[in-house]
Amino acid sequence: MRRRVSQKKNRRMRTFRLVLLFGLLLPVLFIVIVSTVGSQKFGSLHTFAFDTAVGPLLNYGRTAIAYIQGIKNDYLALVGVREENKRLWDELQECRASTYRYREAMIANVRLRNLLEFKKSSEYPMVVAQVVGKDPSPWFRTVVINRGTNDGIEERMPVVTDNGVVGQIFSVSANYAKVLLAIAPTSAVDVLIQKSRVRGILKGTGSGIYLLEYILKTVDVAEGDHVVTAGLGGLFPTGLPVGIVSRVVKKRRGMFQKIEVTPAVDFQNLEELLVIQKEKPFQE
Amino acid sequence: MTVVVFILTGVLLVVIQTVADLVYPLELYNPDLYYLLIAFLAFRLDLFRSLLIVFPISWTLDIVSGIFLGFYPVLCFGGYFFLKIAADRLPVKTSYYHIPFVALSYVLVSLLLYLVISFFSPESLADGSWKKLAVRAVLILVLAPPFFRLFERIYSAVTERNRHHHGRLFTLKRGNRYR
Repeated sequence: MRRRVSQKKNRRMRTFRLVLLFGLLLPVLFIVIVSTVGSQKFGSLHTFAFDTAVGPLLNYGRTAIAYIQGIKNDYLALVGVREENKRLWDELQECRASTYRYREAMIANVRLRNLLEFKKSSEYPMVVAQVVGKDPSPWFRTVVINRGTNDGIEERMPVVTDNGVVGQIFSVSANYAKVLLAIAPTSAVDVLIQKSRVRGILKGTGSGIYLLEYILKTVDVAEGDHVVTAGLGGLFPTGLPVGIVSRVVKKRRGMFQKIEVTPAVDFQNLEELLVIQKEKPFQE
Repeated sequence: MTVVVFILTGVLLVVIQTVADLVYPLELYNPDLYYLLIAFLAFRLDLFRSLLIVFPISWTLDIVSGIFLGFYPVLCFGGYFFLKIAADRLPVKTSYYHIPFVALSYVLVSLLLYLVISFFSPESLADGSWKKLAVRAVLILVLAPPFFRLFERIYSAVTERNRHHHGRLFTLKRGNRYR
């Protein structure tokens, strides 16, 4: 019984589909074909479909493709940008390195030119030496230079730069020498204050200043006064700049004043030095 | 071979320390790397070979630094014997625990030398050495572990028999430390 009812239902559905096909779809198809092939005109149906469905779809499609293409282009551009970025960075590094080299060369040029001018203007024979080592200990103040007895260097020869006194040769080998810096505590140089022409002994402290000793309280010394070598003792020639008075203290007790002198030479950045070759002590 | 390698290592450390100040003015923060090697030798090598190494290193230091010949041999040998005796007599044998003694020995030997020089030549030493000494002692304390590891690697590389003891210097052992 149930089977018969089901067969009946199927038959009805089939009939309905046939009616739908032949009654609706075929006429529509017919109309479309006739209107298209017949008049060859872009009919209202075309226009309707174009406006409402196809056109917007195309628009969306184009937008989607543009979007995808944009992503692809962006990605490709990104890959290119990465490569370009790397190339530009390399180029920048090279430029920086060469700028640094040029700057260094320029500074060295200025420094060496000053040294050369100083050497030319000096009446004493001089040897240019380069600092190759600095005393690593906290107690002493020496540097090692790359000139020795083979270059005519001897012990106790004065060492200077174009800025002023650096120290004296302490020990020497065939190709190297150790320079005792003027700021070393063991160092003492006969100097005079350029303005007042008063003589004193300049002692190193081991730090960045000198102490000018044995200057009487009666002597007029002011900050900014230039201190130069006196030439006494025959170690240094007369008139080499040593430093500038940076502090003057006159205590109530004692005969002498305490005078601090800032070195004319930057001892932190010693690179090229001049060793004055003297055969006999300098005359006063 | 060990002696030659460690002499070269010591000389290299002295050169580094001497040249480093030129590149960048370290002044106060220039650690005494050679002293770390001296300490390592005291803990690790036998007396004879150690002395063969310590002498050329201290001699090199005398060349590049200071104004008193013999200053560095006294400093290096003083430090070496201090540490050697300490290492032999201390109940704890693991060298990890000996690191404070490295800084302590450096300070003590330096102070001793400072006092001797101050007595005989009072104007020879730079002012403010106390602070510098303290800073350098701290630097030695900080740098001792990595440098000891480096020296241990060098030692292991040059001696076959030490292969089994590789890394022993800094192995923190558990259990009874007084055995």
